Amino acid sequence: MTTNAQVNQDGQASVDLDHHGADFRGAPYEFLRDIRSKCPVAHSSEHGGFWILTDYDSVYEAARDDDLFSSAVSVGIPASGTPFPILPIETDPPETQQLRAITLPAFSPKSGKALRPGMHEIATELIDAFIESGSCDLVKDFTTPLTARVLLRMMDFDESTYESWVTRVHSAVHDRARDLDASMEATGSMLNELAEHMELRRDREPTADLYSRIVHGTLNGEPLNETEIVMYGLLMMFGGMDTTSGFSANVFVKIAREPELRARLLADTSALPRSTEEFLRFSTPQIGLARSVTRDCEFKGQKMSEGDMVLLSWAAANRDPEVFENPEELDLDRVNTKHMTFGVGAHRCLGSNLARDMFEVMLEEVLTRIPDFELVGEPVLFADAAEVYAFNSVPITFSPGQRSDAV
Amino acid sequence: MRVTVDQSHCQGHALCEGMAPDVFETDDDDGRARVLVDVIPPDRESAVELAASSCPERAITILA
Ligand code: HEM
Ligand code: SF4
Repeated sequence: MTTNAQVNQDGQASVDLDHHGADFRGAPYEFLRDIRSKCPVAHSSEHGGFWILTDYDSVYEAARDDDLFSSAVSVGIPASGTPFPILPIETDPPETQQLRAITLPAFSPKSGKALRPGMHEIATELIDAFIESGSCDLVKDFTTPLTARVLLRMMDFDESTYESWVTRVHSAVHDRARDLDASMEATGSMLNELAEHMELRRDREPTADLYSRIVHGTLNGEPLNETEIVMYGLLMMFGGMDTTSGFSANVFVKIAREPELRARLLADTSALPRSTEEFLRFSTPQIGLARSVTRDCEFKGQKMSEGDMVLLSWAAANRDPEVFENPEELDLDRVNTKHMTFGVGAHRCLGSNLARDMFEVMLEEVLTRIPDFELVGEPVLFADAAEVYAFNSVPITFSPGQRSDAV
Repeated sequence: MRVTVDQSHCQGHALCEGMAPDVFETDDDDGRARVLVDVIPPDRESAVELAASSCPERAITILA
């Protein structure tokens, strides 16, 4: 691993970093630690050039300064390439707050709690399908279908179509670098389906489901137009699935590899919810997202120019030794829970409460029903750590158990 | 001890509600946090301090 992180005589900091590359994916935290320790605000010439912020203070400050660091261009480096901005993530205040207000009530802690029985129901059904066999793929057979089905349920879409949504979301996100046509086709197909659902809901009375809220949403006093509606709908599918599924998979792999951790969690399952925040800090599935600089400026001693892209690394901030003691250790007794796994500022994750609920339900169900699960071979990461740094396939074996409806 | 939530900074992340649901509640309509009690009971002061220091927007202010 080498980043060549350095500051030249003129005080300009530079690194060699391709966050989409195989090297980075192999050891992202080593890269991030090295960069942070040498020059926490540094420039890479990859992907058309971009800055990366790796210390907590810089990430925090930039994320809260939407005036200087805009989300409107793209939150990806290179840019996401969708034909229209994805809402509300590729907007700036005051539009951001107005757009968030449309769905905020559906993402409140209360709404999440109300969905929990349904999450347990889905989990039970999914585990029933494989528990007698003694083996499964924890991601493909459990975390992915659960998160996708919960989101479709919230949207009031047909839950049984989850596989087609999962396939298209994966193609849209992960084929972008390898097969652009396939990626565009998947995005187009989802937008068409979202448009059909929009037509169905338009003339009906507004209901409390997520998509009806969006279809009947307003911006600056005007109803959202069709493009805005489908681009908002698209983010519901993009934002919620692989992040939550992948995060949970990261935690399951950690548990499988650390007998002491497993013993501790099994000893007192009532203490599980208290561990959520530290797991989130440690196993964050989202390495970082981008902003663009709106005017020439000096930020933390570095000269930035209007239009420069900047990657805010939540994952690096989460392990800043200035803020977290022994940051590379998972410490379930840690009191400091100020991780940035969900970002910070105006765009902080809308789904954070929902993600916690889904994770806690999945953790509880797995530890209760297949507590002795073991990895079979090496689990497989998503191809591109810059999109999702998480496992996408986790084959396991366990002592076969009984279906919940067995008599 | 009293506590206020700056409505212009609060983004409705509800970390405060998670830590002290008897003191903070996010509004059903606008999603922002409201303070439910006037004076914080002494045995809840530490929970409120924790909530204030955890708020990602630094929207919670403790008044002595
Ligand atoms: C562990 C799981 C999750 C992680 C790590 C995560 C991470 C993030 C991050 C870092 C942001 C900030 C974006 C930025 O600053 O540019 C964000 C925004 C967002 N997330 Fe999540 N997320 C998760 C789960 C979810 C879920 C379940 C949903 C539900 C649909 C969701 C929906 C959104 C939306 C809509 C935004 C955009 C908010 C805005 O632009 O104002 N996320 N997420
Ligand atoms: S934690 Fe802060 S931002 Fe979140 S709801 Fe409470 S006061 Fe608002």
